[in-house]
Amino acid sequence: MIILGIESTAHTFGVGIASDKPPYILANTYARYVPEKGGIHPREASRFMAANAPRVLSSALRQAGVSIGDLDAIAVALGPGLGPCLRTGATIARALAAYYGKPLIPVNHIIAHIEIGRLATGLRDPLVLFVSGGNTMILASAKGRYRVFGETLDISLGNLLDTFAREVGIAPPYVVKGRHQVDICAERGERLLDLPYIVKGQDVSFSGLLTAAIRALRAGGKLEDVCLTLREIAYSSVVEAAERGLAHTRKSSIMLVGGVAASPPLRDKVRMMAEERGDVRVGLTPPEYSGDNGAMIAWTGLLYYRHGVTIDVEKAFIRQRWRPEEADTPWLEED
Amino acid sequence: MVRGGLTLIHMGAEAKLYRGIYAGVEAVYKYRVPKKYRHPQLDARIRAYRTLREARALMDAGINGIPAPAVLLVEPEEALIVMEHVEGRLLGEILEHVSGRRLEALFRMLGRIVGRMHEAGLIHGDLTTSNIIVTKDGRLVLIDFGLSSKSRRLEDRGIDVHVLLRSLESTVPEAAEHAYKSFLEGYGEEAGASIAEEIAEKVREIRMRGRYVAERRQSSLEAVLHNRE
Repeated sequence: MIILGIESTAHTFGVGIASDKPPYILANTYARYVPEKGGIHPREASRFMAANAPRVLSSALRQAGVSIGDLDAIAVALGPGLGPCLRTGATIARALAAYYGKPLIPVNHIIAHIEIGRLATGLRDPLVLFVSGGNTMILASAKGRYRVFGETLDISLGNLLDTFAREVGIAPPYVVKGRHQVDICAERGERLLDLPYIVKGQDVSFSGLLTAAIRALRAGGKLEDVCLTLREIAYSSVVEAAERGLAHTRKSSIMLVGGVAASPPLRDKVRMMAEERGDVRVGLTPPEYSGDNGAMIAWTGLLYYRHGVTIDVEKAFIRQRWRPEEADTPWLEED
Repeated sequence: MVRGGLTLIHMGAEAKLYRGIYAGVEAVYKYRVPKKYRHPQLDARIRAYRTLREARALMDAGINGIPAPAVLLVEPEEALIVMEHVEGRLLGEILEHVSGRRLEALFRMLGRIVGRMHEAGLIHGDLTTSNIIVTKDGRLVLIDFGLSSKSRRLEDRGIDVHVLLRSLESTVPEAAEHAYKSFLEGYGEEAGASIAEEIAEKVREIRMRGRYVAERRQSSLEAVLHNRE
C-alpha cells in the first residue's frame, strides 16, 4: 500500500509518500515560505505554495521511485490552519484524486503530528506535548480518540517567540541553523527578571508574558536578560503543564512534537522533568518530522486507508478550526 | 523538613504528600519539590509563592464555609504546608461509576460549592476532578489551591469553570454535558441564576478564542466560505 500525503496548513508545502512496509516513509520533500519581513501573510504563503507545488510533488515521486499510477490513495491535511494555504493543498489533492481516479483521505494536521511522532519514536501511548507556531497543546489518547488535556488560553508558544523576536528587531529570520533567535540571544543572558509565569490547571497563557517582556525591554532591560527570562518562563510553564498532564492521565511516556520541539533548551527541560518523575520514557521527534511535513500526512493517511476511511472529492472542504478530538482515529483501541 | 513517622502517600505533579500526625491530628504534609527544569531563582519564587497562596486560600475557604482542609502549619520558605487529612476518594476516580440521579446530585452540590467560592472572591485555578475529594458520607471537599487567586472578574470565574468542564470532557466525555448542566443549576442556587447564565456564556466565549473553537466552526459565514471554495 502506497499513500501520497500533502501538507499545506501554514508556511510549509510538503509532500510525503508512505508505505505499509519498512522503511514506511519513502519520500518527504517540501518548500517552506519564509517572509522577508513580518509574520506569515496567508495569501502570500498560498501563492508561494501554488508556484512550488509541481516541483515538490515531482521530487517526492522521484525520491520514492514511484509514479502516480502506483499510488493507492491521496491524503491531504484539511485543517486546522490558515484558509488560503489549506485551500491550495486541498485543491491540488482534489485535482490529483479526480484526474487519476484515486481515493482521497482527509487528515487532521494535529493527529498527523502525533502519528508520525509515534512512528519515529516507537512510543505506543504517550502524553503528547505539541508545540508549534500555530498550536500549543497537551494531548493523550482516551476512549479511542486524542483528547486535549491542556492548551494555551491565548497565543501559541511559537507565536510568542516569533512575535517577541520580530517586535524587538532580532527576526526574521526566526530560526538560524535550527535554533530560534530567542534561544540564541538567551544564551548571553545573565539575570532573571520578574515577568509573569502563568499556568492555570493544565493550561498556559503567554500573551501577558509577551507584553511584559516587550515592556521590560523598553524600560531599559538588557535584551539578553529579557530573552533568557522569556525562554525560561515560557518553556518551564509548558513543561509544568505537561507534567500535570502526566500526573492526571498516568501515562508512562511523553513525546515532544511540532516545530518548536526542535529547540534544544526545551528538549533538555522535558528530559529533566521525565528524569525527576522517574519511569517516564521520553520521545523526541527527529527534526525532519517535528516541524510541518508531508510524510506525516501520508503516514496518517495510510492508517486511515487501512480502516477504509476516505472522503468524496466534492465533500473535501477545508476546516480551519478542526479540533483533534473531533477527528476519528479508528486505529486507537477503545480503553 | 520531613520528620519521623511520615509516610509518602502521593506524588503529584508539583508536590509530595505525606501522611502523619501533627499536634495530635491526622495530617497531610504537602511539600512542593524543587524542579530541576526550572531556573533555580524562578523555581524558588514559584514554590514559595504557591505555598503562601495555597495556605491563604485554604483559610479563606474555611472562613467562607467552603469545604477544604484546615491549615495546621505553613512554612513558605520550605514550601511546606501541614493540613488536616481528609478521608475519601477523588471525584475523577469514581466518576466512571456514577450516573443518573447520583451524578446530578454530586454536580449540583459541586456547583453550589464553586458558586459560593466565587461569590467569596476566590478562584481555585486548577478545578479538575483530580482536585475534588468525595468523602465516605458523600460530602465534597476541594483541595490543591496552589494556583488560586483572589478575583471577582467574570473572566477568572469562567476559566475556573472551563477547566472543570474540560477535565470532564477528557475523562467522561459521554456524561460531561449532563454533569455540567447540574453544576450550573447548583452554581445558580448560590450565586443567582442570572450570574450562572453569565458564567455559562463566558465559558462559551473562552472556548471560542484561540484554540477553543469547536463550536465556532458551524458559524454561517465560515460554512458559506467553505461551500464557495
